[in-house]
Amino acid sequence: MLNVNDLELRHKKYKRKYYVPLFTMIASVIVIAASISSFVIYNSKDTIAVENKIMQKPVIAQKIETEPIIVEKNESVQEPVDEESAHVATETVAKEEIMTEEKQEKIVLAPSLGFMSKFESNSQSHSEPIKEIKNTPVSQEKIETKHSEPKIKKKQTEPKKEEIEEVILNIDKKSSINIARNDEMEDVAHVIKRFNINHNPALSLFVAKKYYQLGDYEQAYNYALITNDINNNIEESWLIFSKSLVKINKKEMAIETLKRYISHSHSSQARQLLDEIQAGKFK
Amino acid sequence: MKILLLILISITMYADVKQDMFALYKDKKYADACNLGFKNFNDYSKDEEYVSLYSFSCLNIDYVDRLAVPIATLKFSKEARANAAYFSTILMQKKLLYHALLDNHDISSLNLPTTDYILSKVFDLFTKIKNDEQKEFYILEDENDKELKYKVYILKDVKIDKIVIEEFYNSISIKKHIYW
Repeated sequence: MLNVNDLELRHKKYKRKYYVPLFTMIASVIVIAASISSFVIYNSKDTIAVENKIMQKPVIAQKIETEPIIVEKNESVQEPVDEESAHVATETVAKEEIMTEEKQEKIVLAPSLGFMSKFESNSQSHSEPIKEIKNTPVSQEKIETKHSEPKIKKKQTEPKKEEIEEVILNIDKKSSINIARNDEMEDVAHVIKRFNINHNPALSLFVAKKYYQLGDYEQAYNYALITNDINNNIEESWLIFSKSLVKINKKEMAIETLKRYISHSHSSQARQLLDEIQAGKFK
Repeated sequence: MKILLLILISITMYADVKQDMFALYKDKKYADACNLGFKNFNDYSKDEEYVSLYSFSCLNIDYVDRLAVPIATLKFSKEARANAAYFSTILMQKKLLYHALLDNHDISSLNLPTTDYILSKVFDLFTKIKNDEQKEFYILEDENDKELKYKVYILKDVKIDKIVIEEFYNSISIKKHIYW
């Protein structure tokens, strides 16, 4: 007698095994097709953008192209020519002078870092979540001294590369994830490292000023305070100190500080700042 | 099946190199990011995001000559073209400054675009001074901060002469950049 149930089960197993490779093949083909189509769509977007821009001449190219014309015309003036042509030449020179004056405004090129956001979103979806290190609020009396021992940077061994020589120290990486190029913050970090070594008030004043420019008034206050502790005769430091106090809503303290400073230094700049603060012009 | 697996693995590796480079960039390990980008450049030379990231990594550690190839390849998107213009300005300014300092070539008449990069700042200041005679070094004062000064000079080396730009704040050296 045939065991029909057993045969049916075995047949089902056989069928399953038969279809498994087919399913995996189909699934992998779908994945590949999806990835290829996404690449194609991405590239086609770029080509469309390029086509749209073909008719527009780049501004930078125009500016550079016009430059040699001025030189040529200036040279033509120096050559001995008859009066009429000389007159025309002088007119053109005058025009060119006006043009060059207009050109004095330099074109400032900025890096375009939009692509970084794509990286950022990819990295968030691909890998583990990125650690976000926040700037911890600093107490106004104490300055963070999270610095470590100096460490010499490894020398670049590849001969064709250009190098930057600087003393690198292990400092706290307290900057949060900042995609944009931020040379100023890096410069400040370098100066802080140097200041931590030699405690030069010029460096701390630089840091205070930079922080003030960057809008980090608490840090600006901190570093101005350190500068004043080291050398209490630096006017700029007192001004930054007072300005930072105003910015962190301690106007009264700023006024008091300035009054004391004026009483012993008779600084006109400090007096001017005091007047502005009292009049509410400086906020 | 094996081919499909290989394709899948290669796609994953492609993403990995980019992400590794980005992670290095974020950690401010620009030299490592630049070198990683340099090693894999041939495989990803058509990926403008990759090329841009590689270029910025190299620029941050003053490997300016490595921008030459990216300048040529970055052209398909608006962003890439903006970056190519930015890099080419820096590279050109470096070459002109090098020529001017070594060969006493007059570049004072030039009015080029500028950037936020240190070389551009120095170049702009250098074109404003009168170069009647070659000097051993030039002290250039920052226009926005009088305390900040740049000392520019040529470092005579056995193999090649190099430009050195030293940043000083209140007579204290802050940073040193070397180019050739």
